[in-house]
Amino acid sequence: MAGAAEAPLRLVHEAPLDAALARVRRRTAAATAAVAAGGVACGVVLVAFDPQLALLPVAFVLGWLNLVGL
Amino acid sequence: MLLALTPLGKVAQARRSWVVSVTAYTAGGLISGALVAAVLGAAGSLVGARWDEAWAAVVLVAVGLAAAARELGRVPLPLPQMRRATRDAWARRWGHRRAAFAWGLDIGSFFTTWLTFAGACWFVLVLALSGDVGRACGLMAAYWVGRAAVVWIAPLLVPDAVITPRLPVAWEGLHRPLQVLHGATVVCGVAVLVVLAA
Repeated sequence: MAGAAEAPLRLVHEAPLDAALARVRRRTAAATAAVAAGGVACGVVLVAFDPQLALLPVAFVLGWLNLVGL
Repeated sequence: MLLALTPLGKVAQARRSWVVSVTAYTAGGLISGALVAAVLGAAGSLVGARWDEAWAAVVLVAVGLAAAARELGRVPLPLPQMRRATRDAWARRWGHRRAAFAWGLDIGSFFTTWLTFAGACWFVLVLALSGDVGRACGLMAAYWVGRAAVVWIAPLLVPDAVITPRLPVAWEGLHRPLQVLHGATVVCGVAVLVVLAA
């Protein structure tokens, strides 16, 4: 009986939470896509200018991608 | 660390404390990262390493492709690393600002916490085989700025402070796409090194 009574309450609390988590995922994915696109653009420009400098955006993107390990 | 700092950035009264803490975190990582990179660059210069030396290029391409294969194709290669995260408890002991500096020093040291993906090992080799302290420090600084940027924008990613403890849950679903992107980034880095060696 207790389980049946608690189940709807849990769902009521978790629905907004799931929506918020999905929003965080979408924002993080969009920010990561922007970082990757920026990295590619900078890399292409820098490799034509000085290939050694093209490793800088590579390093920046590798640093950013550690976010799941934070 | 991220879970301890981000809520400060979401509360108006704590915003100044958040800015000081994240600045301290960024500075701490830049300092320890520069020390590690200087040691790696100096070690490389002792053995006469340079990116455009044939042997160094072969090592960097081989390790880079192996790291990319591990992340892109899930090739089960071992990733030597210290299986440790930085200590959230430091905030209770020292307060957020000092703890943030210590977190920066700790995570910026590169080897003292989880490496997450295999490209980190390749990146360490890139620093060492640059054979130049300045180049190694510059690359490490770019890496750290990228890593710290996540902490700077985290308050924009979370809708409110309450959701912060759930960040790892939210990001769980992004692990595979980030892993693939990491592999692709290492491939791009390998391509740049091939251009340098050619």
